[in-house]
Amino acid sequence: MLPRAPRLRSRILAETQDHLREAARELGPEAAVERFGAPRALARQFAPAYARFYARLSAYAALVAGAGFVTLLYPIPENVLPPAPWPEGGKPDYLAWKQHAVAAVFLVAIGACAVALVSLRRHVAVSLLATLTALASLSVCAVLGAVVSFQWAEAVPGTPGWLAWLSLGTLLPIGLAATPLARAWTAARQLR
Amino acid sequence: MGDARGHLDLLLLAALEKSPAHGYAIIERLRARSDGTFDFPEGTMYPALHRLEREGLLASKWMENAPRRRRVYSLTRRGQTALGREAADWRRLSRAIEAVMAGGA
Repeated sequence: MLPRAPRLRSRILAETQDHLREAARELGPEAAVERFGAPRALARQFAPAYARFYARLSAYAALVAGAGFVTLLYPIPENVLPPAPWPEGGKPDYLAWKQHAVAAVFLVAIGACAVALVSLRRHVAVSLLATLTALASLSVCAVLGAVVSFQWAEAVPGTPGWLAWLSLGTLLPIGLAATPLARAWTAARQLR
Repeated sequence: MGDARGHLDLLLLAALEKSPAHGYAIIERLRARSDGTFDFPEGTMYPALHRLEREGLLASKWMENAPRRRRVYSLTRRGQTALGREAADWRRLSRAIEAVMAGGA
C-alpha cells in the first residue's frame, strides 16, 4: 500500500513494526493490530509525504532532462556539422524561426523547473504543474529539434542524419521524469 | 474521538515537552495523562509526527537500543514556541466555552 520511496517507506515500516511489537507485548498481537488502525487508511495519510517526495524527484529529473538536452544538442552538432552554404545571417527562414522557437520553449522549460523546485516546500500542486509544463516544453524542444535537424540535413550536404534521432532520443529522459510526476499526482489526489 | 484528532498536533507536542520518546511511548504518555480518554487509532499518530518534523517542530533520529533500533522524537525550539502558542490558544478557547456553558446553566 505504500508507494516506492525507499527511505521513507523503510522508515514507516520500521516504526510500524517497532510499535506493533511493543503493543503486542502488552496487549497481544490481535489487539495491537486492531488498535493500530486500518492499514489502507493509514497508508493514505502518508499521501502528503509521498506527493512531496515524488514531486521533488520529478522536478530534479526534469532539470536533468533539460541539462541532457543542452549537452546533447549543442556541443555535439557544433563539432560535427559541416559549414553552412549560406553567409552569416543568411540562414533560411524556415530553419531560423524553428531554432528560435526551440530556444524560447527551452527557456520556458528551465523557468518552469525553477518554479517547480522553489514551490516544492509549500505548494506541491504548483510544483507538479510547473514540472508538467517543463516536461511538456522539453518534449516540444525535442520534437522541434528533430524537425530542424532533419531539415538542416536536407539543406546542408554532409550533415549526419543521426542528429534528428539524437534530438528525439532526449524524449527518453523526459519520459523517465514523467513517471515520478505521475506518482506524485496520484499521491496528491488522495489529499482531496 | 473526533475532538482528539482535531488537536492531535497539540497533544503530540505536549507529550514530548518534558523528554524525547518513540512512537509507542508517546501513545502511552497520552493515554496515561488523559486517564484513557484519548484513545484513537495509534497508527494515525505517525503521519502527524512526520508532518510536524517536516514543519520543523519536531526532530527525530534512530536510536540503537538492543535488540532493535527505534525512531525517537524530540521537541525543537520552534516546537516549544508553537506548543506555548497552541496551548495558550486552547486555554483561551476552553475558558470561553466554560464561560458560555456557565452562563446558560
